[in-house]
Amino acid sequence: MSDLITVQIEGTPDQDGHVILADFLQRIDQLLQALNGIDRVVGQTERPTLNYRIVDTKHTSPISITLKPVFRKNVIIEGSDHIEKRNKRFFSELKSIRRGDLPSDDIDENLLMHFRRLSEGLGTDYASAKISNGSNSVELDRVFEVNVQQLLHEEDRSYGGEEGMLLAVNLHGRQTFWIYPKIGPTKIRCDFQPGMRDEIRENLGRFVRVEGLKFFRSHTSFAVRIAVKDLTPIQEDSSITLKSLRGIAPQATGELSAAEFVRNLRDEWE
Amino acid sequence: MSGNEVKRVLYWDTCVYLAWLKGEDNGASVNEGIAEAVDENWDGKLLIVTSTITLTEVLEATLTDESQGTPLSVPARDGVKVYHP
Repeated sequence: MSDLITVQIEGTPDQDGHVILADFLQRIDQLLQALNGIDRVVGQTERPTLNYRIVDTKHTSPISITLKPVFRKNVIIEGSDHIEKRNKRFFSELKSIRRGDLPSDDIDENLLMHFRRLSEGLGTDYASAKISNGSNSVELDRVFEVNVQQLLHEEDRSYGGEEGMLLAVNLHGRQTFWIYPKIGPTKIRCDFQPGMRDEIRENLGRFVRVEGLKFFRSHTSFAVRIAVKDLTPIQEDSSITLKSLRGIAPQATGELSAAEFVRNLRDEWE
Repeated sequence: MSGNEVKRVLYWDTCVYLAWLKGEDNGASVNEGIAEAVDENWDGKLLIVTSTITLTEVLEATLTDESQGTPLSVPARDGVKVYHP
């Protein structure tokens, strides 16, 4: 399998089949973000390990650009298949989406957004587009666009909260931070209001409870996004631990055992 | 203990909390089971989850000033997650 990745984009008839530069650059940027995202997912690294060298370009309509993955400086190379693993994974996820299957569990909403932006604009910005690597070829057509939109479609919403470590924040562009819960999803995107910047900065690296409108997708059990209304740091009181609470209230349930006490409480509800 | 590092998740109902707060004797196997869960939780290997209902039921019990509200105050440090349905 070739490591080379070729993108072909055909412009719309009203542009005589040519592609608008701004649109082209934006699409290539989304491709790069998607490739970097896959790189991080495969390597479980914070930073991508690969860069992409332009090794060929053609403008014979469709415009075509061929990229060769190369290692970034000072990265740990996993093995001789380091690049191949990422390349394979990138195309397998693209093909899953194109087939209408679910992508792998570790493909988060952010990565799906890059796939969506890569494919949007068919008919207005471009007439057709394709990504290939010699043995795989995926059309970025209407089917792909609809499938990725469905994956991103937020089916349900409810007011509620989530707890997690506030570890990443984006203060530029879309104002977003991510919390990393102890269980459930690896991370949850939290969109916040402009007035919350200082509060977020102060709580970076802390365990917080975030409340707001939670958005769910049809195939996920956990919130994929929260429109944040409130953020509260969870106090870490080192003097109180679950361990230290043993026997602290011997008369908590009077003469009753804990089980009897709870049974009585619940009987009252019926 | 973030980003799903916890290996095991265990649900604690109200009576388990109350038994722990009381230091109740429920027989060796139950006592040891609860203590073991607390130890594993302390080591970061086990996450104990519970619900808001547990919190309200625990607060129905006669708690000392020290123990009052503790189920709410220990989550972050002690790996207890409260679900608010």
